[in-house]
Amino acid sequence: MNPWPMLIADLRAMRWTALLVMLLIAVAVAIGVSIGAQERALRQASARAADDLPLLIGAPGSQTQLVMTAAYLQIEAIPLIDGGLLNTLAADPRVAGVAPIAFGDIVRGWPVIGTTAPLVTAWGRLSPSEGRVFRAESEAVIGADVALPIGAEITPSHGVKAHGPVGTETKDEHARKHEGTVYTVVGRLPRRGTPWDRAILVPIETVWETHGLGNGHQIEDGPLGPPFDAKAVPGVPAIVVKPRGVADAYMLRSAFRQGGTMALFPAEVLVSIYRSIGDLRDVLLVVTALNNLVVLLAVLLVAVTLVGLRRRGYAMLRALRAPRSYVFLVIWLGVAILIAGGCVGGLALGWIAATLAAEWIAQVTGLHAVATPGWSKLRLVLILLLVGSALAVVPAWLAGRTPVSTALRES
Amino acid sequence: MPSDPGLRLANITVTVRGHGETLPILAIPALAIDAGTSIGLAGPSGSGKTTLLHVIAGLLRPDHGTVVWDGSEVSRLSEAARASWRRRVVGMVFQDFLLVPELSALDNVLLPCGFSGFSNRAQRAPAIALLAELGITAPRRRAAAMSRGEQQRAAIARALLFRPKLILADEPTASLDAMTATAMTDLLVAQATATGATLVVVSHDTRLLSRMDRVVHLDRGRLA
Ligand SMILES: Nc1ncnc2c1ncn2[C@@H]1O[C@H](COP(=O)(O)OP(=O)(O)OP(=O)(O)O)[C@@H](O)[C@H]1O
Ligand SMILES: [Mg+2]
Repeated sequence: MNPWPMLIADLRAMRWTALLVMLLIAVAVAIGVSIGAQERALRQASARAADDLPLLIGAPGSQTQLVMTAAYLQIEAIPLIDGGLLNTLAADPRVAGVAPIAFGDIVRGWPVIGTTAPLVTAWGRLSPSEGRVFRAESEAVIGADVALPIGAEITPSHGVKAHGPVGTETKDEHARKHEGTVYTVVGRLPRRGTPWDRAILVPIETVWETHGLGNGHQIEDGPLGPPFDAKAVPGVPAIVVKPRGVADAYMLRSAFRQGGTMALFPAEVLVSIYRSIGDLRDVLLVVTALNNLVVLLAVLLVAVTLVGLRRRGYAMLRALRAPRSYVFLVIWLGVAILIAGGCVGGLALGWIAATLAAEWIAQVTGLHAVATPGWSKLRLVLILLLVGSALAVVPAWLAGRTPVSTALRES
Repeated sequence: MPSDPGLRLANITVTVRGHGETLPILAIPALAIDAGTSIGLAGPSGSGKTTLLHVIAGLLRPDHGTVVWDGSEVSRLSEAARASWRRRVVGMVFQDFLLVPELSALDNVLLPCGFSGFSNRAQRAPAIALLAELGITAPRRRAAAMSRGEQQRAAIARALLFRPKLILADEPTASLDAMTATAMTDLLVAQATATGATLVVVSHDTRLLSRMDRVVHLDRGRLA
């Protein structure tokens, strides 16, 4: 059996309707496809971002804010804690590593993060892909996404979020420049897929000094990092601690939950954020499923109407000796092609949407969420295709029901 | 050879239900058409000519009576079996052509290849030749763009392509000028003679009717 000539005639006769139907399905599928892709990719990317921050200590306040600031560098003014804690922690036997996170300055949209060497190398996990870690107060290490060459000299501005190449600074940015503070880029870190890829990492000492707080040490230009032996060590927004063991982690957390500090496991906070994202996703999935169902019903209605319009043509086929199975095949294939075309178009559309969304998210948050066309999405589309072609049986069956002679007389 | 070659109609009645009453539209006690002969069906409009052709073609199951072809009762077959019988035996020219407007004349003629077991490829050249013989020299034009006369000829070509044993034609020359009508009549009769087909033609065209072996008149569903 060769249903194609008749099928082509049908599609030609109803080309605009057919196109609209495909578009309708495509949009519905695209919505379904792009929703889940983001959520999954974000979850992975954000977990990665918190990987190197086992325990966070900050001033009491919003836990979420502290995590967002430290893990995602969503720079906000948050209260400081005593910098002297760095010394206390460095001496604590339960602590394997400790580093501050201080921010507020920006170079061309890249946040300048003041810290110490252990956090730069992610507790020794990373080594610079180019150059080396900073060794002096005037040196900086940049993340993989910072578009500066090794050897570049940069001066940070206070809290100005203008973007663009170095040398195109705005007036405002110039006005807020910390004149006299110059960093030389000495190293670049490998890509981590987190907001830290956009950060410029500098010694905490220089950040303090830039803001007129001294360098935390007794002497100028001494060795970097703890112990900070100044009479009054300046404050920091957050301290990252790498505990030696699990028990140590919990002991440290409870120890620093009181006495004017807050301690938390970022992973824990993320889990609760995920939970609410997950709830949202469940709602969205239900909405998507309903959406697809409605679209399928609409398609079915359109198909039944169109088949009604072409009834005489199908009666003609049967009058021309075509078996019912042939007419059935023509109609079923027609509807199935519309649905399949819509699904393929929807996958493409959804993929484009997901890619654009991922790019936008990377721009805004620095999270590189690579949306892979997950198997579950394909399954959704396959189900849609199966259910759709199963539903296509209805108009196909209806067309075979009127007696040929009667159908021929109706015009 | 079947014991009784040809077409035998017996006790045919067809009624339609409308407004709570049943109206008889066809009542034919007996009609025999021997194999290889031709018969003209004449009669005023609404007399049941098309209905009779549909009954013969198995498109319409009569309320009573039998249609027998070559000794086997077609009217008792299931719809699928009747479609299969039509596939093997019947070529039909419909009163309103029933072409697919979006397809070319050639594709319309070849359309039944899709379900008749004939190869589209093998039938292509014969189809083009047949269309040319019928005066359609641009077989790739869409049916919708053709004149009624051309459409009628394409419909005739579609009915004749597979050399059917039973040719049913419903006013095959109605849309044609006298000269073309004569040519079509010649062609119909010539093919029927050449293939030994039985020919049943509904027509008002006296010249066509005069070429038939026999002419019967229908009036209000009855043979006059
Ligand atoms: N399904 C039907 N329902 C109601 N009436 C019908 C039906 N089929 C046929 N008729 C009626 O039966 C009569 C015969 O119709 P038919 O089409 O066979 O006439 P005809 O002789 O072919 O006429 P014409 O020369 O105009 O084509 C007409 O009055 C028609 O209205
Ligand atoms: Mg008629």
